[in-house]
Parts: sequence; C-alpha cells; structure tokens
Amino acid sequence: MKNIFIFVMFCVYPSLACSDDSVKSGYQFMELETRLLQDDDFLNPGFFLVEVGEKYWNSKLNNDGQACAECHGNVTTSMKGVSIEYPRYDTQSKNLINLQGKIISEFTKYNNVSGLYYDSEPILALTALISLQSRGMEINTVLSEELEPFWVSGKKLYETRRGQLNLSCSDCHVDLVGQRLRGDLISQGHINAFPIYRLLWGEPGSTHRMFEWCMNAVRSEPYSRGSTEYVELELYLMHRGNGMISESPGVRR
Amino acid sequence: MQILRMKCLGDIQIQIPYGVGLLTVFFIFFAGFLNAENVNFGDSARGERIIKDMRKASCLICHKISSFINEKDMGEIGPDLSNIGDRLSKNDLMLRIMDARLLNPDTIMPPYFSLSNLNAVGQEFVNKTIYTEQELKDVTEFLSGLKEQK
Repeated sequence: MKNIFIFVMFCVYPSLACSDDSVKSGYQFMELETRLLQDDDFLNPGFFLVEVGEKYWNSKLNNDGQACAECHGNVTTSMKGVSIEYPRYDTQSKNLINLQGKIISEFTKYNNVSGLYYDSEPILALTALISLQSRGMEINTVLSEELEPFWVSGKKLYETRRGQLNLSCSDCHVDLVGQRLRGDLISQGHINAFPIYRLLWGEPGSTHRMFEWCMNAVRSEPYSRGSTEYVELELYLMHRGNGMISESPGVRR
Repeated sequence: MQILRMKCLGDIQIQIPYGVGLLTVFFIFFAGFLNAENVNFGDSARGERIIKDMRKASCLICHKISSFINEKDMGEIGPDLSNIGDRLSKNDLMLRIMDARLLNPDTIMPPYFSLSNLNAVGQEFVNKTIYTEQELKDVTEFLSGLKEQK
C-alpha cells in the first residue's frame, strides 16, 4: 500500500509542481518593446488620454453644469482606489454599473448632458484619469449577494461559444494560454490595464471596445458598448483577475 | 430538432436532421477506408492560396506547415500539418475541415462547412459557411498532398 502511495505521488508530483494557475497580466505576454512603452509614463501614449481627462475633470461641459473637481476635489486623493471597485451594484438603479457608466450618469445629473457616446472622448479620458489613481493597487472584487447573479451571467457569456468560428472567450484565454495564435502569445485576457492604448487601433480604447473586437474576430454579433451583457462580462473578468495589480493606462499590441 | 444545413450540389442548400447529417458524414468517413482517394475534385494550387488567405480564417492561425518557408509566425495550437497527407486520407481530412465536432464535440477547430449548432453568428456571416464547397475541396486537395519527402 505504501509503495502504491509513493508511486502515485511520484507520478503526480511533477505535474502539480509544474502547474501554474496564478493570474498573469497581459503585460507578461507582451514583447519587450511594448512593455517598455507601458513602463515609461513619458512615452506611454495612454498618458495623452490622462492629460485630456485632467482637462475634463477641472472644467464643466456646459455653463450651467459643475466640474468634477468642484465636488470631488483633487483627483489624486478622491479617486484613489475607485476604479477597481467597479463594476458595482448601483442601489438607485438596482443594476450593475461600471466606471464609464457611472461617469456618464454623473455628467447627465450634474451637467445636463445626455446621450454621450460610451467611448466618447470625455468619458474615456476621465476613465483613464480615474483609473490611473488606482495604478499599483491590487484588484480584489468581492462578490456580494447583489453582484452574484450578474457574475453568473458574465461567466456564462465568457464560456459560451459564439460566432461562425464557434469559439468562446475561455477556449483561448483559459485553455490555450501561452500558446501562439499566429504571431501572438495568447494571454489570460485580463482587464487590469484598461483603458489601454492599443497599437493595433492606433488609439486608446475601453474594455467594451476590446470585447467587441474579440466578438468580431470570431465572426459573432457583438453587443453594444455599455450593454448589460458587457458590464456583466467586465464584472466576471475583474473578479477573475483578483490578486492582480491595476496597470491603467496600459499599452497592448 | 437540430438541423444540419449543407450547401452542396452547386447552389442547392439542403436542410437535413442533424442525425441524418451525422450518418451522411460518417458514411463519407467510412467510405474513405474503402477507397482512400475517392475525393479528387479540388485544385491544390487554389487550396494553397486559400490556406494563406487571412480573410478566410486561415489554417495558419492555428497550424504550422513547414513547407511554407516564407510564412512567418504560424500558429501552434493545432497539430502540425506538414505531413498531414501521410496521416489522413482525403475523406478524413475533408470531414475534419467540414465539421470536426462530429468527431470530437469539444474541439476548438471551427466548422468550415457547416451551419449547425452555431450561436450568435455575426449578421454578415449568417447562413454562410467559412468555406464554399469548392474551397473545401481545394483545401482538402492541397492538404492531402502534404507528404514527407522520400
């Protein structure tokens, strides 16, 4: 019996020792040049967006409105740790809301501006500015009772095969991590660096733009940016990335 | 009832119950054992061009073909196709390209010539297969010719 146990452990131990289920940022899958671009705040093109965000933080969108700074004061202190708390349950709407959705609702409330496009410049720029204040902080999304149903929906979307190519997010970002898809190393698909400056786009973009890009890539019908489905997916991914460090604004290929 | 739609016989698109489709495909599969070379109607040169065409969900995204010395960064997810003609008959190859889910329901190989059991397909691609019937034959023809040089 003892010999059998030793034999089994001998067979199993190497596979246990080699398995690596730790969360890894997309940063670790990038080429050195792209990493260096992200590491240098002066070169990181995402910081152009942060600068634009500062402008919007301190100014109002119309004469009757209020600037963010009027209520929230200094962004570096008031917004520290805020971005990694989203998506969160909004008690007023009784719905899930992400940071971009929150900024849009604040603009609507305090600046009487409605119909702002989800990825419009003020929204994306303020998201980048606010997210920067959490850079270096650990993501730790706690699933409350209210959040759980949204998380379940997000998980379902993540694991459901879609499109003409019949692929799910998890097919690549769980099962094939580290393998090469054409020239790209497949990452774990985390969202800890958003908004990102994506070299392929030549401009910054949101998590929802990335979701849309992936869905188009598998020839699937994408949801609209800001949709409940994408916010649920965002929640699932934030929770999946627990333990990772926020890198916003990141650079990705 | 699950329906397998197959666009075949030129422009005629047929819809048959999934089970019947399965049997049909397996008939093709087993026919391969009787006559491994009975599928012979594609154009190999055209197949090679299709395989390299990134707009056609290129095989090279996931697979490697060592004779493509000018192709950079070929995928490594799927099996190496360099000598695939030695391992699989044309019929076997065609079956795998058409819809590899018939052999392994969990495969991540996209179904290149099937419309069955697809979810949330983009409007642009609804009721369209990745390959046309001719493209399927051309690619099969090319891949079946990939054999080890002796």
